[in-house]
Amino acid sequence: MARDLAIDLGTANTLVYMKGRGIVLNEPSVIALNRQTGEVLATGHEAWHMIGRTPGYIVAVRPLRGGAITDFDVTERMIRLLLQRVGVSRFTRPKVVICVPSAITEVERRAVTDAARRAGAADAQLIEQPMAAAIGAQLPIDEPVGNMVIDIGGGTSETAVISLGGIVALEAVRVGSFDIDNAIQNYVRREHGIAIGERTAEEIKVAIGSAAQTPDEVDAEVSGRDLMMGLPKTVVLTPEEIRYAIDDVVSQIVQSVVRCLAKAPAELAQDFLTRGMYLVGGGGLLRGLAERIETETQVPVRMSQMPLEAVVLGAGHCVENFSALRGMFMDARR
Amino acid sequence: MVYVLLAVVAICVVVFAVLATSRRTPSSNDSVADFQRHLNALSPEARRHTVENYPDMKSMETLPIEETEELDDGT
Repeated sequence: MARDLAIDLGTANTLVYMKGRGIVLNEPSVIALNRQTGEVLATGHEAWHMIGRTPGYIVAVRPLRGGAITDFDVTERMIRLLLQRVGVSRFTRPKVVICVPSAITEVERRAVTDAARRAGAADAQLIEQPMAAAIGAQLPIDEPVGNMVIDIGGGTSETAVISLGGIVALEAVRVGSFDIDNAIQNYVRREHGIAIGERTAEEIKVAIGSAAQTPDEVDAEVSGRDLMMGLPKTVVLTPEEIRYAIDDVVSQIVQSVVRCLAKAPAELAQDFLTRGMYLVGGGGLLRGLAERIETETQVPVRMSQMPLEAVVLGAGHCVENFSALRGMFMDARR
Repeated sequence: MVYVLLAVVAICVVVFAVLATSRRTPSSNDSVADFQRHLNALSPEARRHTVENYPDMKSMETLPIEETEELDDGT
């Protein structure tokens, strides 16, 4: 008997929840392919460790960008391998709930469900990430009060107002942590004339990146390749520089939160002042982001206890209560 | 004999029609019951079981939030 699954198919990481067992898989959404034959060489952690250490005929790709499938075939193969790894076979075809960005288009929606069905799912249902995040973050969404969730992922940032088990207002932008890394990469190239990889840019973000001034800030030494000379070069970056570099991306995220607040019904708006907004997703871990949102919206911001897993736990709860929560799925509301 | 058979057939048709009609037109309470079931399934008590599965995560390797796409070395 197949155990039903919930999948958080994120731009950065993929998490799988199995009915009755909890989270059984948490891996980077990366797949390594042989360029010449198209053969899959590795997925997840294994593929991630291959990045930058492979000969030219092997390529490590992220099949999702901005929360959307950019390569259907590769995504299907990745889902198929993920399902195999959690025990799905030709004879055990589970029902699958997949978390997707709320701004997903009809074509993308179809691509995700088709990829899951062709990969071995008996039934594939989609649920919006902020809704799943609210369920997983244990917010009192069954009550007639306004619950606001900000989910900042690798490729998308979404804000939702939820009350009485449904979404009341929603705002999404295709901007996330990857865009912050890219902004750092571009800044270092432009201002210091050295080239750094996305991995280094991410390390800089984690080490000294912030959205607002924080206590105990320190500088960081960064090494890359001098664009003029082609030789290794080290420069010192300050937190102020990085704040400046990522300000445009952070502003877009904050503005989307402001727009969602403006869309919320007046009756619920007062709840936010007392209950605050909840921040989930890996991007929410950026230092000073909660404070920046709080300052610009004048609404308190609280960090979820499990920001990286809230979405898959919420979808997992829908799998555990499939018939009662069927109305949550995107298809059910169309 | 024929009358008995006709009576049985007529009763069967009526019963079938009643059953079919009752299934097609849900009572006004159905949607209310569904909504209540939906809200109950979202209550903190109902969600406790799912969240208790969270400790399974603790034994897993901590992942970086994101990584590079396609062997980007910054060049």
